[in-house]
Amino acid sequence: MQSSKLAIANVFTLSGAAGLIYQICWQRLLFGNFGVDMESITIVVSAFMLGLGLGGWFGGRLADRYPDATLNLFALFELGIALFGMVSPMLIGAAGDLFSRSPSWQVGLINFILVLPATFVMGATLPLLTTHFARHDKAVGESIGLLYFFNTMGAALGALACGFVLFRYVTLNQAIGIAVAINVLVAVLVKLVQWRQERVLQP
Amino acid sequence: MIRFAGLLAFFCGLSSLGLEILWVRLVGFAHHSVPQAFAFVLFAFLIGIAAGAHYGKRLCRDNHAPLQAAGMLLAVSGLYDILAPLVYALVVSVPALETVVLFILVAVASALKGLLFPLAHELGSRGATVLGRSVSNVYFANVLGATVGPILVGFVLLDRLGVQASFVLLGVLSLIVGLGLLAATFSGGAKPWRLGLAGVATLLCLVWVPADWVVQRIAASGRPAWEAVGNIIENRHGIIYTVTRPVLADSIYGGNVLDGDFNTSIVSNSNGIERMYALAALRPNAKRILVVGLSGGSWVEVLRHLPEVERIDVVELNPGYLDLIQRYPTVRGVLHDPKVHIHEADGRQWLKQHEGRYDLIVMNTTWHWRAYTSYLLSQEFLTVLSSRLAPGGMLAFNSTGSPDVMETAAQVFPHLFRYRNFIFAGHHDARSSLAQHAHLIRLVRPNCGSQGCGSEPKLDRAIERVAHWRTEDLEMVRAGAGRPLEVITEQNMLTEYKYGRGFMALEW
Repeated sequence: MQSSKLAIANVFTLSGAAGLIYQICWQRLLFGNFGVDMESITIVVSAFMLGLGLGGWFGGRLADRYPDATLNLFALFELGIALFGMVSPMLIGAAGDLFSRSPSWQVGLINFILVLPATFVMGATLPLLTTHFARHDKAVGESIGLLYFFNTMGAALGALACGFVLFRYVTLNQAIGIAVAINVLVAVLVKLVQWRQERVLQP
Repeated sequence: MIRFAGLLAFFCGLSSLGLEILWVRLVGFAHHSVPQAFAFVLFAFLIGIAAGAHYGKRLCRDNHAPLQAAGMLLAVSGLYDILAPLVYALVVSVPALETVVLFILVAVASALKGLLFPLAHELGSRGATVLGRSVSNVYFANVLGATVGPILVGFVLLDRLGVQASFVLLGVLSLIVGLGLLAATFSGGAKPWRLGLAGVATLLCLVWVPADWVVQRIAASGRPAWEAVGNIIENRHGIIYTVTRPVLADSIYGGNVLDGDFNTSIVSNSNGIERMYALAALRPNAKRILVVGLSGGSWVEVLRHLPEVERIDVVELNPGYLDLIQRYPTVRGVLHDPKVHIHEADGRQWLKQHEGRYDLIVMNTTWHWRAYTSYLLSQEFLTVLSSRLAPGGMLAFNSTGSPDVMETAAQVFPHLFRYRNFIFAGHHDARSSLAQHAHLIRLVRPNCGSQGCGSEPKLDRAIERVAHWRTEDLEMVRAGAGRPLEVITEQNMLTEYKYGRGFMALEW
């Protein structure tokens, strides 16, 4: 059990890295399409955080409702993020063309709506995993601390990779492609760990 | 207990993300607005959050009074947030120390907040009947705070208070909330009072620190003693200031990077202003001019005196430059000339929202390695500018030392040449026009301040120099680059990353 817990926590590191790659790339794409100024930056950061928060709120309730399906839901959500990631450059480009003449409050709203679906799903993944762990381990603070640690370490690595390595060698869309591949890998790895866990538990 | 957990998580998110924005502003300023500064702060911040969560987990396990522990942590982190930027400003001029100290300062700031998050969850889950809901409620409160934090700091605090006072305000808030929690859970002992006293002592000490001391010290770092930093203007768009030197014209800096000088004289020419005068000959009789980036106003002061000019649209994002121009009599005229229309907007967005073609487009491009500059130097944007040129029109802009800008412009414009980093591009060859119409330069008579623009013989010599510029064509730039040149796009961000200035030696 302990080894699979650690394996899933490690997988969550990858998920965190993908999240930060998306955040930095989407910020750039959105600035490119809607304008480079502090308003855009602030709106994107805030919209990202609110999306994560709403997703977190929803994810916890989902985990309470389907306690036996938390890992499956997690894998499914990771695939959902990958799907959105894949179409995101096209979506942001189209929205940029469509709303380029709109007033700034509308631009802010569009930015928010654009990142909301993916950040919502990203936000839901933490409570899903936390609840999965907490069901087998009574110390909630410890579980969330462990997952938060791994996820945030991944996010830190994602930020470092984007700023100091990735953008030197790949374009924005290619960096998004890397994040998409990471999400798919995370979904596959979680299912593998779960499959191995079930085989061990079988009589 | 559950309500306390939500409030704690909210405040923790608000001050964390607020602090992140403040550190990004401060480090971006210290590192001359390179894009890697943002990635570095984010990295250090997230490492701190991760470390905080890791140790917070232990705190949850070992601590039986989480509310008191949270109060203590908040109070300590409040004091830390007040003092950390001052420490950074002290070490910023020591390159060997700066990056390491910066990493530690940012990581510890966020670690102190990260420690609080598991504590909030522990508080929230005590007595909770439905576990998932408790986790998500606390998480939601945290992220709600993190949503409000950047808006509060980015839109309000940075605009009204500046970066140093914003740090103090967030620190004082943490201190107050922390001491409040300690008071609410007070069960004897001297620790809360000691912390309170330390907080009051810190604030009293800060009364003696000028409100722009941190910015002033960073801006002055690495400068000789005879250069004086002044006129610091902070708003949500950034930090601008001037540098005064004996004899020479004052310089203007935006984001701690040289924007230019307050000089309009072709004779003293400390800022290469001859390139603006030359436009009188390169594109004779220009009537409509677009200027992307006002900066110190010297260029527009010259441009508004070109013969026959009827209208100049200037697009500038940061209104702080207008305040500064108002303080310099030489360029003040640009604010009051009915021909000059200043629009406070992002240049790219403004062009999307307004029609019209121009005889001349002048782009006061900042250094190619600064964050987001590739949006102005990209093939995409140059194509937009090309489409906004009237027949016979010309685009003049600064390549700021990047040879790839010439290669990129060559993809869009059939005719172009470079002189002193400046690219002059259009749909017809204008080079012969320079010598042919050099006499028109003599008609350009801007306000040159109390010193005047120079004696007539000196003006003649300056004009003669312009008429015989040694310009470079694309092949010469290619040959001098020492590597194959590449085309800059919004996607590859070449000048910011691959051929950017970088952040210390942290890239590979």
